[in-house]
Amino acid sequence: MKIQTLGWLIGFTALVSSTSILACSQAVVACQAGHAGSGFAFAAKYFPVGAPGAACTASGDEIGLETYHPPGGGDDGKQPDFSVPAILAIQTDAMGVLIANKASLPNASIDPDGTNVENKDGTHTLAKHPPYALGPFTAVEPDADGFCIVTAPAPAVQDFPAEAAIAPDPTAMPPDPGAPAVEAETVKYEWSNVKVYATAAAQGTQFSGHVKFTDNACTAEYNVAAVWPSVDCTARDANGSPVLGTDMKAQPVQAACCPTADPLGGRVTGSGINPDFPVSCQQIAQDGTYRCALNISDPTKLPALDPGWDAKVDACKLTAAAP
Amino acid sequence: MNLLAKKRGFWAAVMLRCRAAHLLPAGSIALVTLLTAGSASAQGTAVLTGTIVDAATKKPLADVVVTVTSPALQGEQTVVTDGSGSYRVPNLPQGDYTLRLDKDSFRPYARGGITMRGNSTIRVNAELLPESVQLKAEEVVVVGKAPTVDVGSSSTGVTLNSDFTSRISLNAPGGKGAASHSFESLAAVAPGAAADTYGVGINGTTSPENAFQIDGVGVNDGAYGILATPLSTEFIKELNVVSGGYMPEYGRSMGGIFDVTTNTGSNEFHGSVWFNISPGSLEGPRTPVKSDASVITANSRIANLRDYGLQVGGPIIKDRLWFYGGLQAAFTREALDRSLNAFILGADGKPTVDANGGNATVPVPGGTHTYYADEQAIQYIGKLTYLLNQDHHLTLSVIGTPTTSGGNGTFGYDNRGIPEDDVLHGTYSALAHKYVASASDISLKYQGSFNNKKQLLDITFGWHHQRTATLASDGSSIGDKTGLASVPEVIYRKANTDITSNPKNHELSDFEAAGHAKVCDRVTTMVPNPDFDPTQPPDAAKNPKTIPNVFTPCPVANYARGGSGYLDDASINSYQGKAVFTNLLQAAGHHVIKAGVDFNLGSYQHQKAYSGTNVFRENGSGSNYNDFRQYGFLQGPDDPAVLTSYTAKSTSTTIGGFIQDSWSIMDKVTLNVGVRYDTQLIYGSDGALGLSLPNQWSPRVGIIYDFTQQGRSKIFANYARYFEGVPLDIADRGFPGEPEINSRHRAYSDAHPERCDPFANPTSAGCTLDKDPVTGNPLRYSGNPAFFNTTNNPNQIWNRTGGDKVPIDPDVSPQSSDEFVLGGEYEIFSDARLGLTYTHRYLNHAIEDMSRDEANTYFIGNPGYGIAADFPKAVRDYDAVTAFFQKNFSNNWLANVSYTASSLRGNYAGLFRPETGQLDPNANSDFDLKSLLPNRTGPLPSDRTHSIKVYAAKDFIIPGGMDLLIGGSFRTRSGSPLNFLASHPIYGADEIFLLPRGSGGRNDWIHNVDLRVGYSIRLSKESTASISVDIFNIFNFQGVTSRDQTFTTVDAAPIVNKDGTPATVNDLNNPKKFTAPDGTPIKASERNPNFGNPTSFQDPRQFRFGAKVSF
Repeated sequence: MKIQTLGWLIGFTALVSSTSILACSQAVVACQAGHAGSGFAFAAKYFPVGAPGAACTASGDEIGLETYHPPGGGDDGKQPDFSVPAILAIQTDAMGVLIANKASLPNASIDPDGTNVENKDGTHTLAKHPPYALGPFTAVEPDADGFCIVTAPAPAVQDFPAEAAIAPDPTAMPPDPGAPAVEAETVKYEWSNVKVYATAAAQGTQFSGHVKFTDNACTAEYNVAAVWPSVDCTARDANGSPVLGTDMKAQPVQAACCPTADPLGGRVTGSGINPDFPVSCQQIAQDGTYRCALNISDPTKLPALDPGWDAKVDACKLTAAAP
Repeated sequence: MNLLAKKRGFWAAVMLRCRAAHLLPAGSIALVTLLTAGSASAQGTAVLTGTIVDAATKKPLADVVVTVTSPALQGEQTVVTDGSGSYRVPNLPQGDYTLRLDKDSFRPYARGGITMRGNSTIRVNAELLPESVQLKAEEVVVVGKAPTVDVGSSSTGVTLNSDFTSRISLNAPGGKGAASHSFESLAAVAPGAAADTYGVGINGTTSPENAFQIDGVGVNDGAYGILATPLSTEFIKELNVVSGGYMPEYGRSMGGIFDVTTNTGSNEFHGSVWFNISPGSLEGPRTPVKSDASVITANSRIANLRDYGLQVGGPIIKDRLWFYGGLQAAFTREALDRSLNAFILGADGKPTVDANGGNATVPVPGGTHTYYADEQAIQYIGKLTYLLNQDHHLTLSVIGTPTTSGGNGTFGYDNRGIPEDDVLHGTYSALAHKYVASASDISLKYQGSFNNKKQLLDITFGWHHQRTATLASDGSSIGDKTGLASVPEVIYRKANTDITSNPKNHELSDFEAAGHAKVCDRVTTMVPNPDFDPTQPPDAAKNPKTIPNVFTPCPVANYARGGSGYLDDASINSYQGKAVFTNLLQAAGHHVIKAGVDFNLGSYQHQKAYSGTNVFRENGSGSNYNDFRQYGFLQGPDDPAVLTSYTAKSTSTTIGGFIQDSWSIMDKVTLNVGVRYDTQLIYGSDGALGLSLPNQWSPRVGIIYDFTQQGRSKIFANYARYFEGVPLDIADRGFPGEPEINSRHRAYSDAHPERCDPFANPTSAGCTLDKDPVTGNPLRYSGNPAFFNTTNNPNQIWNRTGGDKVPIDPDVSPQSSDEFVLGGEYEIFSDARLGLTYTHRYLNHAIEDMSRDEANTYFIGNPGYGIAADFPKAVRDYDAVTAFFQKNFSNNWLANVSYTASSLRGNYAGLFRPETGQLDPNANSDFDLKSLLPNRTGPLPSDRTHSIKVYAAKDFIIPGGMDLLIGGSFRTRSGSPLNFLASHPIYGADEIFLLPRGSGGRNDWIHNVDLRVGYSIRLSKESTASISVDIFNIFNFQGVTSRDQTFTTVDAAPIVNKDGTPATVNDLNNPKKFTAPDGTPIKASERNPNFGNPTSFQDPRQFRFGAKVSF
């Protein structure tokens, strides 16, 4: 009898105890952002705040994000430590383009790395600030709303020195036209309240934030809403140059922002943007070309999710087969 | 009945036995068969049951003492019939039994020759004659052979023991584990089973989905699910392949259950010594595969296989403590013949074409070299069986299969069981590795019975351990500062014959001394000048009509040299425990109620590295080298930390329980009802939960009806749900992902010797990054095109990949499938059964990794559900009808014939991708992108419409103690489906199905005819000597086993009709339908000229010779 009871006990304990183990929910995604290193930036739309500054406002930009981990993991302490929050870097394309332009001047002394300046004569001087904003997430995992927050990253700052003019030299072969004087320029991006949206379905592919842009005396402030990856939806020719419309400006191609492939219509693959993100082709790049950006009016109300949005857009209807 | 009465019955039986000792068993056990070691086990899983009635009144008899004995049994087993005249003797090991029945005032009854197999339930009913009835001499009842139908279960499958394995040719040379007689290939005998790349797949599933058990311990590879302990059939008493319809005692497998019982000692010393050899020199002629010739070609062939072994078992204390031990050493050698060829260039500098349509070549002198791939597989087993008393047994077994291959100038074998590289485009140092694949298992099993065997308790504890490693071929280890483990591998990637256009095009002399032969001398040819201005007069200096171009007859693409590349070392452990309690109950018939719990704690510790921390890969134009593979991570922008090695630790906790009732309703019909519960939790390297798979409820219902009521027939139906036990590879690679960093280095040239030459000087400044002497930060050389210098990237020099944990859909469901089985069996004459079964299986959910944004981000989920609701569901539908005839070995012959007609359709093959061989369970590229999925539903690669298997063997007894045995097997099956494949813009070659799966028709039927001839002679009363020869593929059939399915190598769009009708072959000729992804038609010149041509043939005729002495 005792054995019999023991046997029943085993059977029932098995089932009862196993049901109590259950309710283990799946692991939550770690804080991350769409990587600039994979070749894609975020397509960011700028929503001006306060009085619009005159000369230096912009409609948007391409912004590269990247995450980093400190060492300290693994048995030897040398592997990346995933138990502490990751660090986020934010670099705007405008800053990178400015640095590249300054570096190409004949009298420039800029190293776009930002941490170290290699002068033309081979000597080195340390740069004062990096061209990207840098700061840690507040937590390893997203909060209850799915946001990974960086409250106040260190700002991106570049101090470009004044350059003296170079006199022309008509006797040189070929003649040297010289170079005009360049005034000193300090460019700053001060970010705050950066929130990256990360869930299992959308892994760090939307972010919002507040940025104050300064270029010498000119200041502009924006709320930013960005989506990853940045997809170029400008009409371009075979060489990659924008096809200009009758107004001599670049033209948008709405269909390039559709998430599904349309082989019969010439769209090889979908846009590569999460199909639930409502996007439209907008002129946000600072050279006047178009990118697929979030189709929203309030950048502080992320995430922007609208499954099936493309079914209501004419440009995204699939091409019928030729009879 | 009270206990006291039971006891009296037991002692009465003892006394009766002593009195009736002179009665001999009715049948005699068959002669010790030629090639077995006398083997037995003290406890097993077969059940003998039946009903005893009074011969005169036909009423059931209670309190009949039932005694079973066998040489396979320690001591004897005794039970007493219950009120309904029913008896049940469980836990019987495989063997031949004698049944004895005793009751006061009835004549004692005995019958022998009852063969118990596996875990089947055999029914033997009997009638006892009252002593008062006088028997006339001529009325002696002749008792026929015991029945063989397993009336206890509706499971399908096959049970194989040494009767079969010693008579049929198995383990053809060239297959996985052939030299060491791995038991896995035995499973291919079962109807619905077929060999696949990694083992044997059952009923449309892939081999990693099977569950393998040896003596109750699970021996699956913890990382990949394939078999980790390929134990030799010589050490195995019985292999029970359960292909479906089984009860909840077995779980966590969607394929078949391979249940192995090893040999045991016995009351007498028995053993054997053996030797086998398969000489490759005798192999039949192979049909060569015609393909475009290249400068470096290699062919593989078997050199020889040989193995030696011995086993012995016997008593330490008779009837109480037995021992058994065995040792086997097996050696496999394949030859890899490598040859170098030079193209014969035409006047235009292009290779000319020969009579067969391929490039014309001439051999390079001194360019042939034969390498060998060597494997050494040792196996050992030790076992103790201890009988505490008649009701309690204990067994301890220790098994090990340490295997190494490669090293010492030889190549190794990978987990497909074939040489790691048979293309040989590179040096030995870069291509060859030393492999370790060792497994060891310890199992402790207790079986107890209580209360006249009405309650049983089985407890098993087991430990399964594996070490797998890929080491440098010179023996150096990960992290060593000297040896090949410290040298980076370098991969070169570009070649065409035109040297002038790009001096970086590689030729043979860049890498090998043989390339300096005259046949490889560069050829200068005058080619038309593309800049010739026809409006101007030709001028040799300013406007030449032709210009000299330099070509090489020996271009080399895809060459690897330097160090070993990828190295790894992994340790896998699995701690297992199981307890099953059985209770017999009488209520409206008989109930056998079972309940059990089991757990499996698995861990996978995996250290990975690249030799010299980096693999350099040349880019397409030869202008720089990329860090193709390098473990490391970025601590900040352009702040790299290169890792010498990366270690991932993953663990899995699985707990399961079940309860089932096998109810013999009114003793007429058996109803099997049960449910199983499993939960699996997988943890990643960060110690955090990675994947949680709870609430795996598997209901099982079956019904069995024996219309003879004598154990000679059954009709059955069964429904079951099966869940997958997820292997740990997905956690190893995804929780978190493997962190890698890479950068670029400008390539060395004569003008710039300071730049990177990773082969000559991998640690030079040009190949690493200079550091600033002041800050220690990496410098970017001005003018160096930074790899990722998009103006918005915080990194300008380094790029990072991996390192993010793969996210899981919060609503993910475990992977499972359902099965219906319907069938019947009938014993047409003794030991022979005829049967018919129908199986239907389908998938419920599959777990796979997918991307909704064209490979930019991935997640794990169920295709068709949750986040992946817009993906098609994973489908794998299997239907099969099998007709079979099975005659167990008796009267000196056996036969096993089956015909299976089946259909396997869907879009998901299983835990590996047959098209590419990718083994990443639950994370293959199958469902990665929606744009990959059109046309993917259809007959799957393992679909074979017809499969016929015939095995037959006969012993011819020759007077004088000699025996000749002939065994043959004939297997034929229809061909696998063929497809039309093209390239996908992101995923590359062969990932697009232009037409629905299977539109290309079928491969040919494949026939296999094998013959085994053995001759044995009795040396003494207990020992025999024998020799045997196996001839595999005796007619040297060279059927085509695979064809080129690449219709075009360029990117193309799948042909999909808007109205839903399937695309057909005619659509390939329609330029509006067969187009590149952007709509431009595919040109005729872009079609693959080799499409449809054979790419592999059957293995040729092979011989194996063997000798054995059994005592």
